[in-house]
Amino acid sequence: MADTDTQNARAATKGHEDYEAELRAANETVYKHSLELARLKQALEVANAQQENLLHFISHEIKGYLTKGQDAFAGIAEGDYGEVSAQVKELAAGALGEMRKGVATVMDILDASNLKNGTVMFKKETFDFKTAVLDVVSQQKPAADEKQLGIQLNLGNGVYTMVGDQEKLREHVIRNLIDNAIKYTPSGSIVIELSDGDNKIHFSVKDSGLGITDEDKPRLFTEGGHGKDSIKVNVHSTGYGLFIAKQVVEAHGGKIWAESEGQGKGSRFTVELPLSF
Amino acid sequence: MTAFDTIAEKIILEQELVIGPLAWSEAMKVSGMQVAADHTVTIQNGDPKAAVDRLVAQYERLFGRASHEVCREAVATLVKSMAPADVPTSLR
Repeated sequence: MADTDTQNARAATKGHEDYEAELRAANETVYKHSLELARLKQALEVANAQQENLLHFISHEIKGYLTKGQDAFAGIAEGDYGEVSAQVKELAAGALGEMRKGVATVMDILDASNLKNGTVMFKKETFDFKTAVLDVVSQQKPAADEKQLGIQLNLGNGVYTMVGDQEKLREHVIRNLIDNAIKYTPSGSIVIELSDGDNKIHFSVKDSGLGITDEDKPRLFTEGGHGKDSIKVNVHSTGYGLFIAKQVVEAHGGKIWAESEGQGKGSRFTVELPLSF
Repeated sequence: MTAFDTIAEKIILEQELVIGPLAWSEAMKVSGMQVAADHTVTIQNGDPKAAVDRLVAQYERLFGRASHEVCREAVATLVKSMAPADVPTSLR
């Protein structure tokens, strides 16, 4: 009986030791895999940083060349280099427009990179959001008219004086949303609404355009996040516009979101901004 | 912060990259080593070299030889500038 007990005890100890050894081996294996992953992650971070730096450098250089070209064409179009024929003037004006688009594209990439790195300074100035919306609408109206799109303004008589970076909100948020609505609406109308409440500004742009599929929704506000078919409509899209808009809105303590019932059913983009941040 | 505090902290930080927060909880179990809530590491009275050795052993006991190598690599530059006699045995 005593012998059997001893044998059982030895077997239990042996089983326990085996189990411990197995566990230790499993731990080591998991550790080695984690180590491999950690090293890959580090290498990826370095590669990403290098790529980011290169992208920043190239964008900066291209922006410089485009700006010089832009100035030259503006000079020709405006007669700074003497009188030129109407044909040359027209060519220069066309080239100037293209240069401006080029600068805007490069600026989008640079801005996105800077926002991601947290190297963007936001001004805190008091301005009227409603005036900014009206300014942008009047600037964008010719593009809407060209496509025979109606723009309906529902701007409530509220308090729209806010503190924030006027230029960034105007260019990256208001202009971007209206510009997108015009670009992605082949026909129909655009409704721009503004209201206030709870110390917040509620701004929305609704269109009867292409709409957003469920598949596209998750990548809408991501870096370089094109909608599946958006590139077919707007070949010049960088995919950074909504990403930048989100960064700017969130830097002001606000929220931005999109709603759509699906493809071909239009979409509505809403921005909620606190009056001060 | 002493050179040994720095060595211990670097080792824990490197282990954290691989095993996450477990690196800190394991370091807290090492006798002679105090890990504050803000993750400041202080080696208390006693032999600091032995405390570092115990830290390395703590990881090795759980995760094997590979974790020992990670500790050694983490502080390779620091150790180079030390007199050989001052280097904890586990890191030689």
